[in-house]
This record gives sequence, structure tokens and C-alpha cells, in this order.
Amino acid sequence: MDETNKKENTGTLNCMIVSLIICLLAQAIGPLKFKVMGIDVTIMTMIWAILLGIALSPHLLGKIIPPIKKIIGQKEIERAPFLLSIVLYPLGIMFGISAGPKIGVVFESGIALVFQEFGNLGTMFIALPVALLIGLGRTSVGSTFSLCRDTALGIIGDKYGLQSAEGIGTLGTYISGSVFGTLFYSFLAPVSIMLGFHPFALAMASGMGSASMMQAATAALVNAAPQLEEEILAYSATSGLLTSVTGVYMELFIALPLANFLYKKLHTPIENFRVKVFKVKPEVAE
Amino acid sequence: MKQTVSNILEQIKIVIFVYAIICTIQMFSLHTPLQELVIASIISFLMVALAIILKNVVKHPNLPGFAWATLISFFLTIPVSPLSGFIVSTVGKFNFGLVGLPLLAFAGISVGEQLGVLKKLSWKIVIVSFIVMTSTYWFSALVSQLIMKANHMI
Repeated sequence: MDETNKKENTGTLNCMIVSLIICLLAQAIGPLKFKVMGIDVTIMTMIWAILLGIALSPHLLGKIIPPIKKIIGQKEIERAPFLLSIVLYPLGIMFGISAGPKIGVVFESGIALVFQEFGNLGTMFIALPVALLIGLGRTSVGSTFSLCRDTALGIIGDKYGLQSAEGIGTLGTYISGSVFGTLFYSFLAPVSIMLGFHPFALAMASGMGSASMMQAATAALVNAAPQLEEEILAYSATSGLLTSVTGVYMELFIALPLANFLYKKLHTPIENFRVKVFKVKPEVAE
Repeated sequence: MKQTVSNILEQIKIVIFVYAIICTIQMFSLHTPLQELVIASIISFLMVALAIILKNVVKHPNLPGFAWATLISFFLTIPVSPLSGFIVSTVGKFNFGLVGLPLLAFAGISVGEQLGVLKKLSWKIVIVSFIVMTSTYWFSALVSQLIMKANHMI
């Protein structure tokens, strides 16, 4: 390989060209509509973009068609997260110009916007008991106290270390979120509308601490309710902003202590239940 | 200091290419005239450049770059801002979904890096993470929905 005279090749160029091709392909394929058991299912254009990106991984298509590895190799996939962080800037501008002119609407719904931030705390009341029930122990605290994006990694790394049980939990949710998050929210958003959630409420819920998941959720909402695009973007933008400003404090001062408190209360009863029902520790059950 | 400046310049350089990608996609998909897209890119780029500088210089509060970009464009387009109409009418030529499309492509490509680690993860954590993602979203939506209903906003 002629890597010596190409010292500056960080994978940026290949990654950009491939992403352009992916986007054009995704647009060319367009949305796909079909029926499954009488229910209309739409695969949005954005989902093609995510799937094509994943498929090009050296671990997937690269394994079957080796030349792909030359274009998208280790260097490129290591570079992608950095490029992703840069693409976020123009997108941030789009969110800002949707919310700015609508500042009146945003203020009117100020209470809802502020209080939905606390909705993120609700997650541990469901996820933590489930995690304990399937035997995750202390890992439960790390994996369920928040959506576990970058700030959460910082907090847990600082407090317990990323090698600890808590750290492994947070890393786990982080990685799983990075892999499945965008896809998951592109499906969850329209499903939630079908379940009866109002698009505005879902827009406010989209700011969860991950810009790419927020983008996936918001774009899917706009796709499902195009006539409400302006308001959806305005609510989503403000919620995203609020989370990025308050998120780290919520996690550090409220979410983590609350998760630890819940763990203390629930650990013993759930462990006893496990022993009784699943017979996980027969020596204790006897 | 030198490091900061070179970081800023590198990021700004990449952003220019990102606009080229965004414009190409939009010309291909919506046949928007190139001239409109170039103007939109320049105005948007100026705000992004400011955001990149702030992100690299301001450490307290340490906001994500995305938040800086949103904050800048938000305050420049509130109704009392003299630039509001101009920015919205120019940058507004961009299609929101198409600006976000490269992001999702990069998100997809980044997954490659995580796939190896994912295999080592316990399936239990993966299940738990799905519950976390769903419940975070639904609880927040539920709170918003209840409050907006109570205030007759929806």
C-alpha cells in the first residue's frame, strides 16, 4: 500500500463520496409502501440511507465483496463519527430557523417543554426492574438511568469507571443505541402516532440527548404529518436545545441518584423473586 | 491555541464539502435551482462557521456543536431580529429532510465501528436498551401531551 506518501488520508474523502452516493441512491429508491396483514407500512427514504450505510460496513458487505473494503475500510468507519458531528452543524441551523420565527408558539408551550424533560426520568421505572429481573445486577443502574449518550458516559466513567459493572451497562446502552437508535426511532415515531400520541407531543419528546436519534425521530414525524412540519421542527428544536443544556445536570443530580435509590429498594425483592420463580440460585432457595 | 485554530479550520473545510453534498442531493431530488442553493449555503455556512468557532473556544458551558448552531440561528431568526426574514427566506430553500440525510448515512457508516463491540455485548443489555429508548420517548411525549391537552393547545 502506498500509505507513506498519503499520510493525510484520514478516510474523510472516501467517506464523504460514499455518503453522497448513499444519499443519491436512497433518494432514487424513494419511499417504499406495502401492506403487511392489511396494515400500510412505509419504508422511508431516510431508512434506506441508514441501511445502505450499515450494509457497507467492512464487517458486512465488505466481507462478501472485498473491493468494498478498499473504499470503506477501518479508517473510514473510524472517521464517520467525526464527520457526523460536522454534518450536525448545518442541520442545527435548520432546526434554529424553524424555531426562531415561532418563538411565540414555543413560549406558549413552555411548561410542557420544560416538564417533558422530566419524562426522561420515567424510563428507569420500567427499564430498571426489567434489567434486574433478567439478572443484570449493578449493570442495571448504568444501563437504565438515561439514554446513555456521551454525557452519561462521562458521568459514569467519572464516578464508577467504564470498566465497572455500571460502566459496562452505560456502554452497552450507548453502543446498542448507536447501532439501532436511528433505525429504531424512524419506526417508533410513526408507530407512536398510530398509538394516539399527538405529533407535537412526540416532537417535544424527540430531544433526548442524541442529535442523530432526534433527527431520525423528527424526520419520521414530519414524514408522517407533513402538514405540521413547521411546528414539529420548532418543538423538536427547542426540546433538543433544552436537553443539551440541562441534560448533564439532570443525569448527574437527579437521574443517577434516583436510579441508585430504586436499585436499593428493588434489588432484594426482585432477587428473591428470581430465586423463587427462575430458580437462579438453588443453593439460596433451599 | 494553535491546536484550536487548526481544529476550527479543519472543521470549516469539511463543512464546505458537506454543503456541496447537500446541494447535490437537493438538485438531484427536488431540482432546486443551483443559484438558490448557493445563496442558502453561504448564509447557512456563515452561521455554522460562527458555531464552530464558539464550540471550540467556549468551554463553559460545554455545549455540543449542534446546540451552538441551533442557538445562533434561533436568535438570528426570532421575529425582532432584522435578519429574520432574510435568513428564513434564503436558508429556508433547503429541504429539512435532505439536510439531515447525509447525517443518517454517516450514522449508518459509523455503525460498522460498533458492530464488533456489539457482538461482545450481552443480549440482555440490548433488550434493556430498547426498553430505555422506547420509555424515554413515550414518557416525555406523555407528559407533553397531558400538559398540552390540559391547556387546550392540542
